[in-house]
Parts: sequence; C-alpha cells; structure tokens
Amino acid sequence: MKMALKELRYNKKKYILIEVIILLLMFMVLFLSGLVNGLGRAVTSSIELMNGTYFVISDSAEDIITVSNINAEVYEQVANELAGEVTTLDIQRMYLQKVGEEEKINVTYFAIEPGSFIEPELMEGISLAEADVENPIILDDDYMLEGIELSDTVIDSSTSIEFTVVGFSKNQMYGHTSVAFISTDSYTSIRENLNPHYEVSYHALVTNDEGIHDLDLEGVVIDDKQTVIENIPSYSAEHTTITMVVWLLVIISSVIIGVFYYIMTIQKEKQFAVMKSIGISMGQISIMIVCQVCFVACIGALLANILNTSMSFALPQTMPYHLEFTDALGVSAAFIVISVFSSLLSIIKVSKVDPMMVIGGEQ
Amino acid sequence: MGNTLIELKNIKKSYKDGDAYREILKDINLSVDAGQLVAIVGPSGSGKSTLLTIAGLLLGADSGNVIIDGNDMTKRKQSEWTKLRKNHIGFIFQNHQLLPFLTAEEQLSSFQKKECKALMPVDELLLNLGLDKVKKQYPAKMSGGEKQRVAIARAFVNNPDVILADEPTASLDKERGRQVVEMIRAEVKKHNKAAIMVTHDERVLDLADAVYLLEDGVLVKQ
Repeated sequence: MKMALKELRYNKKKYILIEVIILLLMFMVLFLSGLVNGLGRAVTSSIELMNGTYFVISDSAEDIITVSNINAEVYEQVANELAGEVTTLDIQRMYLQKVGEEEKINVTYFAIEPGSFIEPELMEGISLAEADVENPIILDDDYMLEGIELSDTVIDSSTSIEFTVVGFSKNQMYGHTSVAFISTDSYTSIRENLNPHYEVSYHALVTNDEGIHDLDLEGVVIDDKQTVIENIPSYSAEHTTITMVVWLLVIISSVIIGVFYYIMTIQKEKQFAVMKSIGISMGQISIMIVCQVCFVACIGALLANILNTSMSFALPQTMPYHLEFTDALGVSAAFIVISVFSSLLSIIKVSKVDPMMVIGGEQ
Repeated sequence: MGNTLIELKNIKKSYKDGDAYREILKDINLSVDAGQLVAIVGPSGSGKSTLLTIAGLLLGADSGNVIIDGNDMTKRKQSEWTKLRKNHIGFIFQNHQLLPFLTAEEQLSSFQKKECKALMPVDELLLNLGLDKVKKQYPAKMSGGEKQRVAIARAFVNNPDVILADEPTASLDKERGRQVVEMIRAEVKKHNKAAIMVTHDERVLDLADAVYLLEDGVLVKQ
C-alpha cells in the first residue's frame, strides 16, 4: 500500500533509528549463527566431508567412534559378505612436531587405507595411495599457517616416527583440532611403538553399501553419519547451547520491532481514529501496518546479511566461522515472520481505537 | 432544492453517569435539505458532539432513525458503518486532523474512491479553495487556515451526501474562521450537499441557513 511507504518516508529519521537497531541485532544473530556453524564444523567437519554413509561401531561404545573397537575378524567377515566396498577408520588424538622444533602441534590422526573411498579431497599434492614414501601424511590446510609445506617432514612426538607431507586438504577438523590423514600401516606402527603387545583392530568400519544392515554381525551397531556426528564428545552440548542462544536472539529482536511499532502506534492513535472516521476500513489499516513492519524487517535483514557477508571475508582463517546461505536465509525468514506476528499487537491496539475520539473538543 | 439529504428522527441517547442514567438527547428531530448549511450551537456538554457522532454513524442512538438520502441507516449493521461513512459522509474536524505524512494533494487522492475521481477532481477542489500553491506541501508547512481548507476539500472528495463539521473554526482566528465557514458554505451550495456544523463561534452564525440551539437535550430552532 502506497500510504505505508509514504508514512515511512515522512518519518525517515524515526524509522532509520529503528532500522539501525534491527540491523545490529540481526547482524549479531547472523554472526552468532556463523560461529555456531563454524564451531560445529571444527568438531565434525572431517566426518561430515567423509565420503561414507554407514559406520560399524562396537555396541559397547555407545555410538562414540573413538572408544569403539572392531577386531580384524569382524572386518574380514564384512569384507567377505558385503557386496559393496568397506574400509577401516581409526581416529587418534596426538601431537606433531616440525623437524628441529620443540613446539608440539595438536593433531587428530584419521588412519585410513590408502586408495580407499574415504581418502580426502585434496587442494594440493597427491593422495596417500599415489605417494611413494614410507609414511605419507595429508594435512589440513590450517597447518600451512604453521609454515609446513609440501614434502616437509613432520614428526609424531610420542614415537618420533617421521612423516612426509604429500598433500593438503581443506576444512579437515575433528574435536577442535586439525586433522591429518595417515595410512593404517603408519598408524599400526605408531601403536606398536607405544605398546609392543598391540593387536591390530579398528575404531570403525565405513561403507556406503546399505546391505550392511542385512549382515549378521555380533557385538556391533551400524550408525549413520548423523548419529556419529551427534555423539562426538562435546558436540551436542556446545551445539544445542549456542543454537538456543541464536534462536532466542532471533525472537528477541523480532519482538523488539513489534514493541517499537506498538509504541509508535500508541503515539499515532489519533491518526488512526481519523482514518477510521473518514471511512478507511480496519482491513486497509492492518495491511498498512503489516506492510510497514514487513518492509522494516526485510530491509534490516537484507542489510544485516550484506554486512555479515562482507565481515566474514575480513575474518582470520583460524576463526571458526562458517555460514551457509540456507542457514542465513532461515534465520532471516524466521525473523521476518516473527516480526509480522508481533505487529499483530499493534493491529489489535488500532482495532480498539474509537474513531469517536476525534469528534468534540473536550480535551 | 427541497430534497432532504439527512433526517434525524426521534433520536434519543443517554449515558451512564455514575449510578444514574443521564439523558443527553431527548427526542431530537432535524432534517437538512440539499444546499443547506445548518448550525447547531449550545453550551459545552449539551450533547452537540454526541449528536454529530450519531449523525455521522460513529455512535449508535438508543432509539430513533438516521435517514441519509432516503435510506434508513439505523437498519444497517454496525459493521457496515465504516463503508457507509466513506460513501455518504464527509467529516470536517476541529483542528483539521490531516495525516502528517501526506501532502495536500495526497490527503485527498489517497482516500478518493475510483468512481469519484471524475466527479470531484482533486485539482479542482484544491483550486476552488485556493490551495493550488500548497498542493505538494505537508501539513507541517501549511498555515492553520490552509490546513483547515485542505480538511474541507477532503470532506468533499468522495462526493458524500452530508457534510458534518465539528467546530471547524476552533483553532483559527476570527478572520480565518469566518473565511473557512464561508468556504464550507460555498462548497455546500456548489455541490448541493447537506451540511451540519456544530460550533461555539457566534460570529459565523449569519452564514448558516438555519441555526438550532441544543440545550437540556432538546433542539430548538432559533
């Protein structure tokens, strides 16, 4: 409705102030959801990116991959009976050192079989299978910031086994540490080095074949990727808390629009009375109010998204920030919808305005 | 002439005043013909405004009929009143009551029904009232007299049968007040409408075709 926009234009200053508040609140909401996602990914991204659908885990592990233990016999049985491919995965938190340096760098090893379907996508270098060195290693690109380059040598701090960097992969994180992919053989030698009685076993088996559910396996459960992710220690607790904060903020900022608008409605009571007395229906007035709130909310959401996107380019790479377009859209849409809902408060107020108040000079 | 546009028949209205009911309008009868400007005077609290809100379909009477252009409006549902007001009644309020965010031109065009555009061209209405210079201005930039004249123009914009004016001179000085009533009169004559004006201002009564005094709930022709 034209009138709605004319009023916005006439009261520019007032609405710009409200817009600024909305913009800042929305920006905060979007930024926080970027951090939620970013933090979430810092815990889970290597699993999320992994080209595997089903994870076989021992049933005593309560869906936690790192405490699971699958022995070689089960692996053999699955490999024999399953039509599709299956491979092994071990996850181990350790420390790396650069040659000649004391400083220990956090790392989570993902031990995989070279050439298997869960080899990570590379941004630089060659895969484990292609590498022609004794202990090849593929690192997350965060290690580049530590000054590690291709064909550098890194040392496993606990065993002094040397690895040669053959490739880098993007966004490989697990449990807040960057991930390094090594071969199962290298992993076995680390374990044997630490414990001479080590017997080969695996944390999990990974496959994309749905037929895994039909196999008669003992002492194991088959989890899908989502279950595995949700059971990574600390993930659920962190994720639900911050997600709740984000949605609370969405609701608060949209209610704030509603409240602001309500206050302005009270100030304009007489105008609405005039409109009603000269024959403008409540329907038209409601459309006008919804239009205005919608407009203010949409502009605020749009500006906040623009601000947020440009801000995200300026952030340092190490900051765990990641916002998918769909998430931003979801948050913005929810914000607009709740804003329109809270404008109902103003509409109810206006519907109670008595047009008679403009007649008679009693005040 | 002689065509009655608005007729109030046996209008009664009482208000609850503490525990007792106070009868503010006792059996009011009034009819106004096309081209007639009628003034209603009376002390404050005499029920002038109440009478105007009943005639203007803003308030229901306890009994009696409001007949506009031959149609008995009291038989229509209250939910239709907003529409009836838009189609049949033009209000001129005390203190103009223009919407601050619309220019003079928009005050009129935003509320005009499509079918009235040719009948009551906005430009012509503004020109007649000497407002062509402030056409693009917001109320905040207009003088008191100009604002009230825009309000007069707005009252005519949907070609109503009846013009109801509530103390149209209240916020104006003597000269401007008189000018405004002269203009209401001129427009009423020109467009052949029936007009009821409630006023305190005795200096403009000579411009009315008839003057009624409302006192103790009874309307007496002067």
